[in-house]
Formats: sequence, C-alpha cells, structure tokens
Amino acid sequence: MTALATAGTQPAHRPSVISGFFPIIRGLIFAVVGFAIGAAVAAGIRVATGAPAWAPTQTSSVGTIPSTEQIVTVGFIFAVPAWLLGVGFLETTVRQWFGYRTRPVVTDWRRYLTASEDHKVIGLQYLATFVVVLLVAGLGAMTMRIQLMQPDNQFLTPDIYNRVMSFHGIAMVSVAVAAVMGSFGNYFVPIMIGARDMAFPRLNALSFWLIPVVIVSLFLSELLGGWDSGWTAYPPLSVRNASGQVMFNLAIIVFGLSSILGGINFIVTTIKMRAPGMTWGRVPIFVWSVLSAAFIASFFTQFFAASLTMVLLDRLVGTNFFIGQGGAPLLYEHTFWFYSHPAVYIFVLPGFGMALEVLAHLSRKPLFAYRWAVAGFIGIVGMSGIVWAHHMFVSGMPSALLGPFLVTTELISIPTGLIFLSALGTVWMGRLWLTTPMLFALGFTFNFLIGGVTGIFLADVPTDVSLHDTYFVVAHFHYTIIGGEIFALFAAFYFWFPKMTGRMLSERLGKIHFWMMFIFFNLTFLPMFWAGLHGMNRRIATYQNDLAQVNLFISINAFLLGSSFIFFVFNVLRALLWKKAPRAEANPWRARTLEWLVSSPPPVENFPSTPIVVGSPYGYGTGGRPHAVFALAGASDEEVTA
Amino acid sequence: MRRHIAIVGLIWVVLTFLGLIAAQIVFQPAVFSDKGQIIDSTFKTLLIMSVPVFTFVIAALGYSVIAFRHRGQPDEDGTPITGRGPLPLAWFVVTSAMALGVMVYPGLTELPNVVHLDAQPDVVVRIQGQQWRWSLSYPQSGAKSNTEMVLPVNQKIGFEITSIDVIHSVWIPAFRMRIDAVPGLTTYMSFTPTATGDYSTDSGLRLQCSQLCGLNHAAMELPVRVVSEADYQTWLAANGGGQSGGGSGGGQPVSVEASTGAASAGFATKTLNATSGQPITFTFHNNDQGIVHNFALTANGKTYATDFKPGPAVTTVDVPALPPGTYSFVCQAHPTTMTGTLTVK
Amino acid sequence: MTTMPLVAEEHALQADTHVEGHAAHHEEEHDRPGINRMGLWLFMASESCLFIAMAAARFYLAGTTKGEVNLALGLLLTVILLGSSWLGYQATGAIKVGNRRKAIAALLLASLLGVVFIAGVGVEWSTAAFGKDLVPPASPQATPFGTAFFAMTGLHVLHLFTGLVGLLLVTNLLRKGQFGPGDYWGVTAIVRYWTFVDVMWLVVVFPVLYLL
Ligand code: HEA
Ligand code: HEA
Ligand code: CUA
Ligand SMILES: [Cu+2]
Repeated sequence: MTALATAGTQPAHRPSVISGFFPIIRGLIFAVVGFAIGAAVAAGIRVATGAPAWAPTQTSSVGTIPSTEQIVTVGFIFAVPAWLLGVGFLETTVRQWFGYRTRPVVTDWRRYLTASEDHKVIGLQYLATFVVVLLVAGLGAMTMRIQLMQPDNQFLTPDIYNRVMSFHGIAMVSVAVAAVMGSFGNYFVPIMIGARDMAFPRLNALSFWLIPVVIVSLFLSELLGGWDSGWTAYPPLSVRNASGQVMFNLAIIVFGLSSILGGINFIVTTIKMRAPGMTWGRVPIFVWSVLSAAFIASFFTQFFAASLTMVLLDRLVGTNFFIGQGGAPLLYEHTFWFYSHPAVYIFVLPGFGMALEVLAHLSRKPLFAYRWAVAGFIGIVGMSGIVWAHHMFVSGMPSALLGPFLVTTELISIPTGLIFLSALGTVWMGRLWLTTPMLFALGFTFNFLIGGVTGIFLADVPTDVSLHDTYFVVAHFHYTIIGGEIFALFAAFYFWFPKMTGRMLSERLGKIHFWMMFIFFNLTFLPMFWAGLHGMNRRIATYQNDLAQVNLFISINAFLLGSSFIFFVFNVLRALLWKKAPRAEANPWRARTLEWLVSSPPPVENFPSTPIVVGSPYGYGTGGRPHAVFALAGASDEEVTA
Repeated sequence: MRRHIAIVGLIWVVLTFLGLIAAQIVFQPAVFSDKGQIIDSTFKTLLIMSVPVFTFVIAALGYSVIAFRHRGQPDEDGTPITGRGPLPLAWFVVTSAMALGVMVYPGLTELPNVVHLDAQPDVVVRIQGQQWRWSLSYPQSGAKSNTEMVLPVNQKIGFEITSIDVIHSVWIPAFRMRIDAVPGLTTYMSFTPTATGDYSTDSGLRLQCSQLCGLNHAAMELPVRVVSEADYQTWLAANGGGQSGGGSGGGQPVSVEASTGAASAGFATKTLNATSGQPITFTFHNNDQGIVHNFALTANGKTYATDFKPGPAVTTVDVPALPPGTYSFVCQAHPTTMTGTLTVK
Repeated sequence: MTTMPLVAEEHALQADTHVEGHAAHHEEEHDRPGINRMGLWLFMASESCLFIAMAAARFYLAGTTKGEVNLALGLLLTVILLGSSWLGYQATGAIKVGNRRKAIAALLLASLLGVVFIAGVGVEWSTAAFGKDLVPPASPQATPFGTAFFAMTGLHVLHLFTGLVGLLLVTNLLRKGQFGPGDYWGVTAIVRYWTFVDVMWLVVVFPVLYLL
C-alpha cells in the first residue's frame, strides 16, 4: 500500500522503508519476550504445585496432558498484550503513564504499519490483510485440489491433507467474517452516515491488531503438530489430537474477541453518530447490513468462545466437558453451531448490502423495496439464532428436535427472499452500466440463488440424512460464501477502490477477472453437487475410483479459477505502483451516497464540514433533492451540493 | 412495461418447462434400501419444486441485464420505481406460502418415514466405531466381524451404534442412511435393504465414516454385502454365530488384567497358560481408569479379540480348542507396548 | 472472552489521546457520554452471553443435580460482592460532588472486598470434593458438576480480576487528580462493570451452582 496517496502534508524528509516496519518488528520482539515471560510463569506455577516444570506428558483423567500445552497457553496469554504494546497500541497513553516523552503520530505511509486509530487506515489494513489471507488460503485449496485430482494420490499424506483442509477452512471463515466488515465496513460506514470516525477509534485499532495474532498463531500451530479437526474442531477429536489444536483454540478465541469489539463499535457508531438528517429511512443499505451483522457478531460470538474455552479446559486442566463418563460431545456441537450458523449471516449480510448498493447505483434506480430489504435483514438476524441444529440432523440428538429445526430453517428463506425481491426490482427498468463491480453484483445474485436453494435441500431432514457431510454440502457453502459473499466483496472492491486509493483499476482486466472467476467458479462447484450425490464425502484425502473423472474435472477448473486471481492481483498492483495509472475523480460512478461527495481518497476526518442529509441516497430519476449538502466552512451561507 | 413483463413471463414458462425436463434426469446412483427410495423421491420432489423459483429469478435477472443494459455510462436515470405498494407484500405472501408448502411437503410429511425406528427389527447389528476401523457384532447370533458388513435382503435391520473414542459417522451411500457414532451415547437407525449386491459391483455399498475423525478418516470404510437369507445364515455361522447370546461359551477360564499405566507398562499378566484340546474363555479385566484397552489373541491365522472399552471394564472372548504351542496376544489399542504370550500345553 | 472493560477505558484514559488532534472534533458534534454508555452496555450484554453459555453447559452436563457446595460460604461471598458494589456506587456519588478522598477510599474498600471474594472462591476450590464418592474416585474437576463448577467460578473470578485491575487503575488516576464533578465517566464505567460482574454472580453463577 506504499503508493497510496496520502491526504496529509508531506513530511520534510523521506522516512526509510525499514523505519516503517519498526512498530511491527518491535511488536514481534515484544511478543516473543511476553511469550517467554508467560512460559516462565507457567513453569513456575507448575513447580509451585509440585509438578515438574516441564515434562513431556502428564496423565490425567483425559489420558495425558502434555505440559507444553499449559506452557504455550500461558505464554500466549502474555504474548498478546505484549504484541499490542509493541505495535504501538495505546503507545501515547502508556508513555505518559510511565512518564516517557510522547512521540508525534506519523501521518505518511508509515501509519498503515502502526496502530493508527483512523478508520480509513484501519479499513485499508483490514483489506490488505484479508486479501492476502484469501490468496494464501486459496493456495491451500489449490493444494487440496492437486491431491484430489486422482484417487489414492500420494501428493499429500492424509495427515497433511487434513491439516491443509482445516487451515483452508478456518482461514477462509476468518476472511468471510472479517474481510467485508473490517475493511469496507470500517472505511465506508462512518463516511456513509456522515461521521468523522468510528465511535471508538482506539477499540477499532485493537480489533485490527488482534488479527495478526490470529494468523501468526494459526501458522505457528503447525510447529506443534497442527490441527486436523476441520474448522469445526469437534471434540473429542479436538481434545485428543496434536497440540496444535491448542493454538487454534487460542487464536480463534482472540479472533472472536476482535469481532465482538468490532461489532459493538459498529452498533454504537451507526446508532449514535449519524449526521444531522440521516434518519433511519435514509441510511444506505450497506450500513443497515453491517449493523445487522454487527448485532450477530457482538452477541453470538461469545458462544463460539465458550465452546473453544471448554475444549481448552478439557485439554489443559482435566475438566470433563466432552469425554469420559458424563462428558457430552453434543454439547459442543450445540454451542458451536449456535454461533456458527448465525456466523454465516455475518458473512453474507454485508455481502447483500454491498451487492444491493452497487446494483442501485449502477442501475441508476432507487433501491427497490428499501424497507422490505431492511425488514429482511432484521428478520434474518432475529431468526438466525433458532436454526442452528440443522447442522446436527444426524448427530444423534433427540429426534423430537428434527421437525422444529427443519421448520425454522426453511422459514429463514423468507427474509432472504426479500433481498432477492429488492435486487430484482432494482435492476428492473434500470439503466444498467455493466462495469466490473456491476458484473460482480449480478454474479452474486445468480450464485447465491443456487447456494440458497440448495440450502433448502439440506434443511429438509429426509434429504440431509443422505447429503450431510458430502460434497453436496461443500458445494452449497462455496456457492453461498464465494458465490455470494466473495463475489459481493469483489463488487465492492472494484466499486470503492477508486475512492479508497484515488486510482482507477483497469476495466478490461477487471472484466477478464470477472468472467474467468464466474465461469470457472461455476464449473468448479456445480459438479461438486453431483459428486456429493454419488457418494463423495467431505474431508477425505482419497475417494472411490468411480469418482475419478468428476474430481479431475473439478480440479482443473479450480486451477483456472485460481488463475483468475492473477488478473486481479496484477490489476491492483498496476493501479497502485504504476506511475501513469489513471487517477480517480471524486465520483467516477456518478453515485449519490456521501462517500462520493468528497475527494478520492477522502480527506482526514472525511468531510470539510459536517454534512447535512436532506434526501434519500437512492433518489435516482426523481429529479428531487440531493442526498446531502455541506455547509462550507467559513462561508456559512454558501452551500455546495452534489 | 407491460411488454417487458410479458416477455419475462414467457421466458419463465419456457425455462421452467426445460428445467422440469432436466429434473427428470436421474441424478442419483442405484439405491438399495426402502428409506433410500423415500429419500431419493424427496430429493426429486424438492428439485421439481425449486425449478420455478430458480427460473423465475433467472428470467427476471437475465432479461434485465440484456434489455436494460447500457453501453458506457448512462446519461439518464432509470425509471424511479421505489417498490412501495402491494408488490413487495405479494412477494412476501407468495414466498411465505412456498416456504410453508415445502416445509409441510415433503419436509414434515416424509420426516417420520425416514427417521422412525423399528421397535422389532428382524436383525440387530451393533456397530462400534474407533479410530479408524469399524467392529460389528450381531447379538442375536453372536457373530462378529470387522472385515465386512453382511446384511440379509428384505429384512428390517436395526442398528445400534457407539464409538469408543471420537465421533464417527455410519454412512452407507447406497442405503442413503447415516447417523453419527458418538462416544458415550448409543444412536439408532433402521431400514430394510431391498436388493442384493456388494461393494465390488457398487461402490455405494460401503460403510463409510463420514465424520472427520483424524488421520485415517478417509480410509475408515468397510465393504457391505447384501445377500439372500440363506447366504446370510451361512455367513453368520462362519463368523462365530450360532452360539446364541454370544460371550462366555463356558470354555476353561483364563483371566487377563491391565492395570493403571498399562499403555506403557503393558499387561499386568504378561504370560498366560491353558490346556490344549479345550475351548478357552478369556476374561479381560481392564482396570486402567478411563483408558481403552482390549485383549486380542492370534491363533490359527485368526484374531480373537474382546471389545474395546475404557476401564474399568470386564470383557470376554471365546476361543476354540487350540493345539499345544505358544501364541501371542496384544492390546490392539497399544499393540507395540502391550503384548504377551499364551502357552498351551 | 475477555474482560478488560476497554470501552470504559476508551474514555477513562482519554485525556491523553487527544494529542493527536483529530479526534477532538467528535466531542463537540456527538453525544460522547451517550456513546460511551451505549458501548459499555453492549459490551456487558455481550459478556453476559458468555455466562449464559456456561450456565447452559452446566445443565446440559449435570442436569439439575446439585454438587456438594458450601452454601454458607456461597451466601457469605454474595453478601461481600453486594457490599463491594454498594461501595462502588458510593465512590461515584462522591466524585460527582467532588469528594475525591471519599471516592478513593470507597474504591479501595471495594477492591479489598473483591480480593476477599477471590480468596473465598479459593477456599471453596480447595475444599471442593466432588467425585470422592465415585468408584473409583474421580478428580473433582472431572465430574460433570465439578466441570461446570470450576469452569463457571473460574470464568467469574477472571472477570472479577480484570475488574479489580480496572478499579485500581482508576483509583490511581483519582489519586493523581483526574476526574471531578464534571468528568467522572471513568469512575462510573469501572463501577458499572464491577456491578455487572456482581450481577453475573448474583443471577447466573450463584443460583445455578448453589441454589438449584
Ligand atoms: C454465507 C454463508 C451461508 C448462507 C447464507 C447459508 C444459507 C443457508 N444454509 Fe447453509 N451452510 C453454510 C453457509 C451458508 N449457508 C456453511 C459454511 C455450511 C457448512 C458448515 C460445515 O459443516 O462446515 C452450511 C451448511 C448448511 C446445512 C447443514 C448441512 C449439513 O452439514 O448436513 C444446512 C441444513 O439445513 C444449510 C441450510 C441453509 C439454508 C436453508 C440457508 C438459507 O439461508 C438460504 C436462503 C436463501 C434462499 C432459499 C434463496 C433465495 C430465496 C428466494 C428466491 C425466495 C423463495 C424461496 C423459497 C420459498 C424456498 N446450510
Ligand atoms: C471464504 C470462504 C471460502 C473460499 C473463498 C473457498 C475457496 C475455495 N475452496 Fe473452500 N472451503 C471453505 C471456505 C472457502 N473456500 C470452508 C469453510 C471449507 C470447509 C473446511 C472444513 O471442512 O473444515 C472449505 C473446504 C473446501 C473443500 C473440501 C475439502 C474437504 O472436505 O476435504 C474443497 C475441495 O475442493 C475446497 C475448495 C475450494 C476452492 C477450489 C476454492 C477456490 O475458490 C480458491 C480460489 C483460489 C485462490 C483464491 C488462490 C489464488 C492464488 C493465486 C492466484 C496466487 C497468488 C497468491 C499469492 C501471491 C499468495 N474448499
Ligand atoms: Cu471415523 Cu471418520
Ligand atoms: Cu447453518
């Protein structure tokens, strides 16, 4: 991101590239030291309680507890705050606290590498981080597809396959949870509601800087044997497998903390910081969608944290939540899905919002049935908490629960249908400007339809008995997540990139990316439905010989799908690094929402003066009032309109 | 406006027609059980019901893209339809009705037909999962197997399923049926196989673990064979069936023990003695709290093993009369550390 | 999940951040106290979900069976916590009218009661003997009730501990002369969090483990 134009004043001297990395390097050093202190504390406690400071294994009711797990856990708990301190989180406060001289806050490109509290900086930090995670986890998928090209392939050992698969799963889930909310949410929600920043800028920085902890820990877990229990990490497997699982649990608890704090921040920001005149009926749909997802993130994530904590306690201190007499493996499945089903709506709600946003602006039409779409969001949030056990139809839970969960799950298609109403109504009779973002938004609608409708097949207990844990499910969720959320993410990326960076992306490269991604996405995942019906179960490194052709076909298309991202990466690098890349004007799409009324990229603090919202963000074709006006600072009676 | 709607309507009808034809393609491989047939027909019903929903969206979306697209940047705005009024309400009502419809039929109507359990199955099969193999026992006859699952055709089979370590899942694709094997819980499933066949001709006839259970999850499978009643009886007899009730056949008693720490220290009784020419009943006392062990003796090219159970537990296994000699036994959960020898004189 | 009442800190430590200048605007434009209050409430609502999850786990594992806990000690601990909260509110009341010394004293006493509470839980932990009657005896934390008991009280003590750290930080700030009649959000926030932790004990942990 070094080439980003910064709106601040140029510093007198050019800082060296190395100095920019100083906070991160310091953070890493602090983290290592913190870890060492924590490990020493843990060893100390062990000695104090009469155990050897370190012993390869130690028996308990569970079997054996490697003392490494206890030591690593305490080390981790110390390393996290140390890391935060190192990257400069709360730096000023801490310096003052201890009577050190405070240092001026950097304003040039280096602020992207430190714990800045500016929502636009944080948004870009999220974006860059998660695009990289997406690509790395995508490379994991490529590795899996190489292994699955033929049955009994020796490319990966079963252990490595399981670990790669688990990594792909959780890394992608983290992309799905945080990429959209964290980047576009942080960058645009404040601007779209006419605020200067998020409600709690410092909390916002904290939310972001916990993310590297998560990612690094997931990688480090491989040193402890990795974890092979999938992204769902069901016990008892996750209580008995390699010690890498402990790192996974710790990392994901931290991730949960980040998304809870982020969620709270969005709720308060949207409720409390809207500009004058920004009534609930004038809030852009993307803001509504982020607000809805934020509610889910703030309240349900705790159940995931609780589940993971219980597994940790079983491993570390010999409690008995899940194994042995009285242990209850199904308890985990309940608490886990009580979060993880709502979580799929954390993935997709902002996706809906972004897609509807792009569809409306690039069809030059008011968003169709705005109120119904909002009602759809609220309906989804309300119902998301009562459908979780549709992941457990064959788990052995009491069969009296099957019917009720079938009913609630199928009910949730009603509010989701309202989003489709809005999407279809919006493009109807519009003036569709088929730019790259528009194509992605349309692709989203198509793909998510397939994902959603196949969800109904899974929600039906009789069919799910047969389809559960097969590639039918894998196809379903890739359609909803990639086809849905990730397509919407790219729609938003192409739509807002000019605003965020002041550079234009190449339309031609963008279109190549879209068409390749759209075609090969469908060719990769459509056959997976077929494979699932023909007896291909999930999470296997090898399969029956008669599934060889379909898997080869899937793999080849998956590689082509992967290669479409090369155009994306190239397009972005070209726009950022090439000196002659075209610059973006303030409003290249002629859209109406607030972010387009300010320069590209927007100035620090977003607005020259507080905007006053006077009309709908979607007032296309009505010839009526603009969305907002600014009172010019200094000349109070002169107004600029867009 | 009228014209647009008419065209979309037409496209919808045509696409739906084509879709319904496509839905007639048989998507599933051969099915071998009564409930499997219900499941397949439910799938088909859902497929047919989803066609009009799917084609409606495609028709409206596709038509809009083609008819309303604009070369380059549009110079004017679209028709400002905001979607107030009765249309959204109508959509809401229609989709709600559809959702309720699909919920009632096929959902709730077929649900009991698929998950109900036969109170009086003709054949009971106990399946025990463990990392990474299946062991089967047929309590009515005493037969045991961990190399294949054999079922008689056209008889009601009742399964009782457990696991001794992590969660596994019993899935036989050709029967379309599945239920998890959960440690500490017994789960049930029942259905009737409707055709004979075996794994070598149809790969769907396999007992596949379908819940991620660690390293060899992918390989945790067992061939399944559906046979005639007569073949089934023969198979039972050849696999230890017939001594009704299984267990303690009254041979000469030999006691084996594992105590705390056996996983590294080995059996408490490392050498055993027995007399030749008489059947032997081994009683294995696992006193190792919470840890799974068993006793497995290899003789005459066969393995005689007790069930895996976490201690404290007592399990038995019957072995036919053996010729004099020394035989080795192991705990199959700890085959490298827990070994011993049996001397038959 | 955790525990440090960061939302509260946001303001408690505020004086220092605004060196960066740009944040200063918000104050004028928005209802900063309202924002802080809402953030704190949401945070507490979210944390209570964690306790609810644990309580659900307790019933799932142990049904309605009751462990052999020391009810008298439990009641005593409850009273201690209530007293501590009450002291917290005295502190808020005091700083509102500018009585710094009383505020400091009340907060210190409240923290002291917190420490006593933690010690009390320690006693309960060391005497808990669930599972001793089982054959063969199981370690206390391995029984279903014991699992829930240690997890829930542990979670609660963890929250209490972070609250304690917060109380001491704020007391220290008070001592240094921060906060006053017009600006006492930091004190309110930490006291509210402290009360929240007490309420969790009162309505979740205590009834679920001691009374049922
Ligand atoms: C973005 C993520 C996302 C979304 C939005 C959804 C949406 C839905 N999902 Fe999906 N799902 C996942 C991600 C997602 N899912 C994942 C990741 C898993 C696997 C987890 C794992 O095991 O690893 C999964 C698994 C999963 C299962 C468990 C399968 C199994 O393991 O056996 C089920 C079962 O009910 C299910 C159902 C549904 C339903 C009914 C919806 C509905 O919300 C869909 C509603 C949408 C529509 C129906 C289409 C539009 C509506 C209309 C056009 C109106 C008219 C339609 C009707 C009246 C029907 N999903
Ligand atoms: C956001 C969510 C997301 C996304 C985007 C994807 C993307 C992909 N996924 Fe995955 N997937 C999941 C979420 C996701 N997945 C989840 C949750 C699971 C379940 C795990 C579990 O069971 O626990 C899963 C499981 C899963 C499986 C099943 C594994 C199994 O059960 O054994 C498969 C199999 O084919 C698969 C394939 C793919 C493929 C081919 C892609 C492709 O779309 C990937 C496209 C390729 C790229 C994005 C890479 C491009 C890279 C480059 C061009 C190089 C440049 C890179 C750098 C410079 C670093 N995924
Ligand atoms: Cu056993 Cu998977
Ligand atoms: Cu779900």
